[in-house]
Amino acid sequence: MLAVLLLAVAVRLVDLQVLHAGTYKKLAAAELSVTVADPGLRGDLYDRNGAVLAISVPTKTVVADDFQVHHPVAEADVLAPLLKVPAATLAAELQRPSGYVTLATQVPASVGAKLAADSLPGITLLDSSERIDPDGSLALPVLGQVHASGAGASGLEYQYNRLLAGRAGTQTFLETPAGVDIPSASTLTKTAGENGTSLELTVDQPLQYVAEHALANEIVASHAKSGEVVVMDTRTGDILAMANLVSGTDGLGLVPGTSAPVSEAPENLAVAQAYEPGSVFKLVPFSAALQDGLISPDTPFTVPDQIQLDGSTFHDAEAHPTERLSATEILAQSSNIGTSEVATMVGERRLLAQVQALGFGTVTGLHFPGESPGILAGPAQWEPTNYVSFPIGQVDAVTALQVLDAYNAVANGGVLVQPRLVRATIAPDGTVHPLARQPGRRVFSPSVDAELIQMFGAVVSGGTGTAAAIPGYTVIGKTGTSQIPAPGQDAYIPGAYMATFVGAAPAPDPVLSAIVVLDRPTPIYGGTVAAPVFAQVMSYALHRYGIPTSPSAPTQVPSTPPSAASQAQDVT
Amino acid sequence: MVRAAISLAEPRTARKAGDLDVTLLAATLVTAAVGVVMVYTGSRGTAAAAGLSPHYFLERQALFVLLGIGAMAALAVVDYRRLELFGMVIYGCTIAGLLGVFVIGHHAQGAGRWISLGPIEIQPSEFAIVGLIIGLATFVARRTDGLTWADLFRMLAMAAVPMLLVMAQPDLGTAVIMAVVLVIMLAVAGLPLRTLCLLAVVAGLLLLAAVEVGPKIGLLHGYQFSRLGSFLEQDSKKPSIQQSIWNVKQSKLAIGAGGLHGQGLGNGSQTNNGYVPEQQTDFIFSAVGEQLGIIGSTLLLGLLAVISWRLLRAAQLARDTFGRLLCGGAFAFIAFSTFQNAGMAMGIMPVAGVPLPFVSYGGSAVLCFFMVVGITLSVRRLRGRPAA
Repeated sequence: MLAVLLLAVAVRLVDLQVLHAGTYKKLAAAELSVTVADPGLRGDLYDRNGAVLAISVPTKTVVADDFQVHHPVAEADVLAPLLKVPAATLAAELQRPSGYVTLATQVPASVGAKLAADSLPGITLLDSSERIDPDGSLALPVLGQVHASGAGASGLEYQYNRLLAGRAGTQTFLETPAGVDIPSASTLTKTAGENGTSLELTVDQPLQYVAEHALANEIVASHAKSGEVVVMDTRTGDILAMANLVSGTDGLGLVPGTSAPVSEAPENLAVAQAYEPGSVFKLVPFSAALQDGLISPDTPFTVPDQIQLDGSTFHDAEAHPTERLSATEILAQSSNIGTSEVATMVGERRLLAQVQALGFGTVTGLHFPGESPGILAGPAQWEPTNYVSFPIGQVDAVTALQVLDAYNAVANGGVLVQPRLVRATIAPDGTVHPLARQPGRRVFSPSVDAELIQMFGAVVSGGTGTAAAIPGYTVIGKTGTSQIPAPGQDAYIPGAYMATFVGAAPAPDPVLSAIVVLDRPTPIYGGTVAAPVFAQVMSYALHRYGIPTSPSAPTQVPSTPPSAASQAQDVT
Repeated sequence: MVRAAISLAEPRTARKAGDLDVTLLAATLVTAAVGVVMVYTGSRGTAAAAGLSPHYFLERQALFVLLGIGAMAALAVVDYRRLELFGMVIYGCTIAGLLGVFVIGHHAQGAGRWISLGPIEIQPSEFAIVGLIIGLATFVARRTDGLTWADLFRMLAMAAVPMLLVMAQPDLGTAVIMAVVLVIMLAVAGLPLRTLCLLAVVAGLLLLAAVEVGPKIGLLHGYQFSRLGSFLEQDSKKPSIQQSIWNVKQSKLAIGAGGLHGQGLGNGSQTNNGYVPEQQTDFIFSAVGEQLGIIGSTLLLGLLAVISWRLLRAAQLARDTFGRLLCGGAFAFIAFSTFQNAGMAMGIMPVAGVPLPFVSYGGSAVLCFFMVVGITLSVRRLRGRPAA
């Protein structure tokens, strides 16, 4: 019996220690070794001139293992002045029976170096980094934010996270089951990670600053709920400024450099918020009618005060006697009845096709996180009354950036270009790789485009958009004052309007286009609240980029704001 | 073996009186010395992590061994036949000790096994094995006309009482040792092979019943079944299995990683860094395997085999039934403890914690192992002398 037991044990010993020794040695080694990620430093965000918009600096996270801390009070006294945490708090933390207590995060590297020199038992410094936006919350809805982990949470930080984050390296070392490092001369391996790629944005920081200030002031003055301003380079689609602000202090931070109670919007409203655009949508019927040769800028129309359609009566916004108006005048005065006459000539199918041709209903080339494609009515939803409501922007919902992009096609000689926010990537070694632009798409012939520029010029020179005029430059554009649908109801919120001005300068060959939208301002009119913001921002931009003034442009602009009467017809 | 033991039990011509089994004594002392060293390498880190002196377990184990040597010497010098006078008293005392665990015992790791006497902690279940050996030997020695069926049942009852008490602690390992001690002693007592086989069948049926009924009446615990079950499925990836065989997995890994000559004393990557749990007690064999390799583990098991062989030899040479049974019990106790402990560490026996004789840390166990060797030395020494 003794022999049998001995044999069994001997066989098993040979099995384990001779036949399978290699396997078990490998398993044993694997059990001890721990591999942790060693993240590279996140890439930076720069504006188009190299100004820093967001940058990561290396910091340390200080953690304690209470199992290794035998003199908590003494260690707390050493740590307190360095971490700027009261010694009593630290002493309590050091005695928490957890094995892993975070004492401080985002400790500057210089302090980290001092702590490392002290090498207190049980205190470990982990590599971390802090994301710093030197301009405070400037353009934050566009730049986005990062999680505490350092990963992008929103905006461009989220969209380009993979590029920005870089590649994590690894560190392999030996550890006991309790997580204590085993001092070992061998097997400490380290593979280098790679820092993230930086982005060069199309945004022009000073213009962004001016746009935010102009918008903030108008939000305060008009008691608007929120607003956005986007400025675009006509030829390239580069977004030079993209301001998204909300009234109050609940947003992502106050607008830098002002004490106004206006903060950065929690999201990029210009691409995330789809709204009924109102009269700025009149671009759709007028451009289609011109393209199809149905009208010319001078085509006369008889515009009554009201029309009957499908058994319903439609009024213009303000009562007026039956008038004789040219197509240009209908647009300039923003006549809804006149526009419906143009739309009826164009027809349902052509109108719906033109909406899509101008880029509505699909996300722009930005593919910004949370970007809305808008909400389009298809043929199935078409009703006869749509000949009035559709062309005046009361059926489809679109984003401010889509409206700007469509008008930018007018400013760009009829070629629709994709907007963009990033124009180059900068590798960790500093090499700049410009990003290729998407080719533009022609949507209007040059002759139709010239007619559109002429007609939209009349809006600013003598129509609803006079407040957008800039001395020395010919401005084109369109106002919009649209009701806001009540959520979940087939009705509008009483007294709630979106005020829009979208335009470009200097005609006849604009280099810059811009849109200003205000949510629920007082007064309500796009020509009264949005157009002046457009003028301020565009004027600054034209001067900043040294755009020459034009001798044919008016040198004087109206010094008084446009009267309510002049705006009345703009309301949809 | 049973027959051999009986046939060889005829008194031989006495050689010189005071015959000392030097081989047994030397093997025992060397094994205990190895144990002290292994306890030190296995417990240094654990002790330091617990805020104790790194020498804490070393010092205590060395003390236990010295006490054990003292007990062994005392028992070797005393005539073992005196034990027969107090046999039943000793047995009764150890049973009382087991009962005492339930009254004043305290718990460690899910099992209540210890009684505290000031700074000393006693594990009565170890002493109960010794008590059972002496009790059974006394019982058989007094049945000079051979064992009747009634005697057999009395012996079974004598063993059943401490077995049930230790199982209720719960300490399955000790109960198994007691069962093996009983069977071997019955064989040494000359029980016919077919009766033993019958007993084995009945025991098997009882075990089956215990497995079915045990948990319901609280006699066995869920974890003991998960250990038994997981023993059969060591390579399963099921989390529950993985959890209950963690110790065995770590132990096998450490022994395997030891290879031919080991990683060196104190240099075991798994045993010296705390990956193998309980390694100064139930899993000390993995420390030996990892640090000393197959050379070291074979030498250690060889020493224990020599001890077992000498105990068996002493049984064969004993001059009377009492001595023969004492040595047979000592043999069963040490040989099976060795096999169960090393087998568990290597994954060929289920997890039921028993100490590796003379090597595992623990005062009660060390003392008991030395005591049975001491008794055996006495049996050997007095084999040629007439009864007192």
